[in-house]
Amino acid sequence: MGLLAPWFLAGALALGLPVYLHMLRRHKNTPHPFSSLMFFERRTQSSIKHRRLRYLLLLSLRLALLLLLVLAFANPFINRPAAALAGDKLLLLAIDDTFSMRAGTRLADARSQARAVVDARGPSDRVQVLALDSTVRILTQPTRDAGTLRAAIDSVQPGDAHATLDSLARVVRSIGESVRTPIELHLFSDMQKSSMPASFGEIALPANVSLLLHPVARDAPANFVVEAVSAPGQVWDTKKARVQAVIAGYHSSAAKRTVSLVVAGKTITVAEGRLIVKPDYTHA
Amino acid sequence: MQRFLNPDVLAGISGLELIAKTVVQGFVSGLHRSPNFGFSQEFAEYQSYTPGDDLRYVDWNVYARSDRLYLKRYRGETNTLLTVLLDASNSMKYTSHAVTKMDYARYAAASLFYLTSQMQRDAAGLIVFDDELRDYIRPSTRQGQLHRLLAALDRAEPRARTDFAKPILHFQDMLRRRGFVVLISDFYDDPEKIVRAAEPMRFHGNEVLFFHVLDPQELRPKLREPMTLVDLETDEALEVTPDYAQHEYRAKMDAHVKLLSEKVRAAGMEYKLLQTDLPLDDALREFLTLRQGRL
Repeated sequence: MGLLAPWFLAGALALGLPVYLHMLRRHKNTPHPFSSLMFFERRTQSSIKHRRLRYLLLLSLRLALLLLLVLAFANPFINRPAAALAGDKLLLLAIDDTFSMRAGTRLADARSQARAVVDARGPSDRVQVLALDSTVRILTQPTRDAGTLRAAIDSVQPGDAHATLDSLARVVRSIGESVRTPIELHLFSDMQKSSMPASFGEIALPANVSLLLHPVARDAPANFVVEAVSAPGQVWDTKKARVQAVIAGYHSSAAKRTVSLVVAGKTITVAEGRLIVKPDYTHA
Repeated sequence: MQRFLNPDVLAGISGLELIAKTVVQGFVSGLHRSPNFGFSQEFAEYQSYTPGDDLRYVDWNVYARSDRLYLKRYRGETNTLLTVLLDASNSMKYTSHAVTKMDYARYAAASLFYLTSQMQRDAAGLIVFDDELRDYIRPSTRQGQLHRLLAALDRAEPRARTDFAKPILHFQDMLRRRGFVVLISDFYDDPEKIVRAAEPMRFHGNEVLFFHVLDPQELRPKLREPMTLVDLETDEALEVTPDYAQHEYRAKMDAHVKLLSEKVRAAGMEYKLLQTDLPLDDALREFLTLRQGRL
């Protein structure tokens, strides 16, 4: 324990004032006229009894009030050991709700794993739920209320965007600055490669944050994506116009796929062809 | 009516005459029989004239025949004389409530004067003293005597110290005629000395009544903490403790009151303790009892 403004302790000298009021001032002996001292004899009480403090309760209250005022001005603080704080941590549950999480039971798996983390948390741990897509949405404030946390987890629905881990890292860094306790970041995601930023430094986390990954796509299924589309800016002759698309397959084998060209909501043409690809190979 | 005898109520009335009238009439209304003896036409006896007697009662026919002065006495007529000796020393200034001992003594004296001179047409006189004789109003039944007496009571402001022996020596000359002598004081002196000083008045055939006026704080002082008390007469200061005032002082004061009353009664005089927070009717009742006993 320490004091931020110890010089205010000089105000403790004011404690002498109530003592003066209760003891010394009361002792002042003002003469009282009396008709005759014929039957009186000089008597002096012992100094201890004479100076006995009166109204002790009132004196105690006055002293306590002054002492509290002095301490309040001195601004006391308590040094708590880090070990004492270790048990008191903040769990951040970031649930990926990007387009890819629609596949299979990924989102349901993510939710159930998040609930499991909530159930397994320590009694003093606080939990905050975040939803991750192209931005980070904060679904709850840090809380120990399991009901609130479960409702927030269940409210996560898949979107159409892709995840951006750099925005998640930014939010976590901001929380880490305001929260002194250790932070555990639990990421429930299918860990899409596209969620990685261009620079790895953008996902650096503060020292008090530990990252725990909860992957929900253990066996990656075959995935086909339109990687690039090349089309003319202006079309003069529709018979001569050509649109070239690059279709890529991930974890895929040779497959037959139908590709449609849709312009302004209107299907222009449908091409069907057989893609002969090797595993993890991109075909045009 | 008892309420009007309360000294705190009387303190709110201005004018001693009105106070005396209030007290006496309030007291009289509470009695079963009127103490107003008044005059009667029923002849009782002749009494030898002594200087100072009211000449109105001299039987001039007898004087013409016998060349001797006699007073005609009628049944019911008292023709007595009251002299109040009022202590006006500084100690009488003391009070712990609205009425000082001096005020209380004035009320008592004024009530006696009213009862005597207005209601019974007797002569009344006043001697005010401290360690000297300060004021003297000769007993008389003359017109305006009550006003003279009340004016003298008004003038009697406390000062100096009490000394019974010296002034009472002078009283002997003034109290030639027999009657009632009421001595009003707080009697802060040796009881033996006080009684010895007052005894000659008794020897002259007077009925002497002691009114011992004390404040309740003097009888039962209540000190919450040690304090310095200053004697009103000597200016001597003394630090006293609540414990002493609670026990030893009370015992000494009680012993003083007891000794004084015993010695006064042993000397054939009467004693009455008057506490300044109590109504005045006790004083009047004591006086009337004494008066009736003598008549």
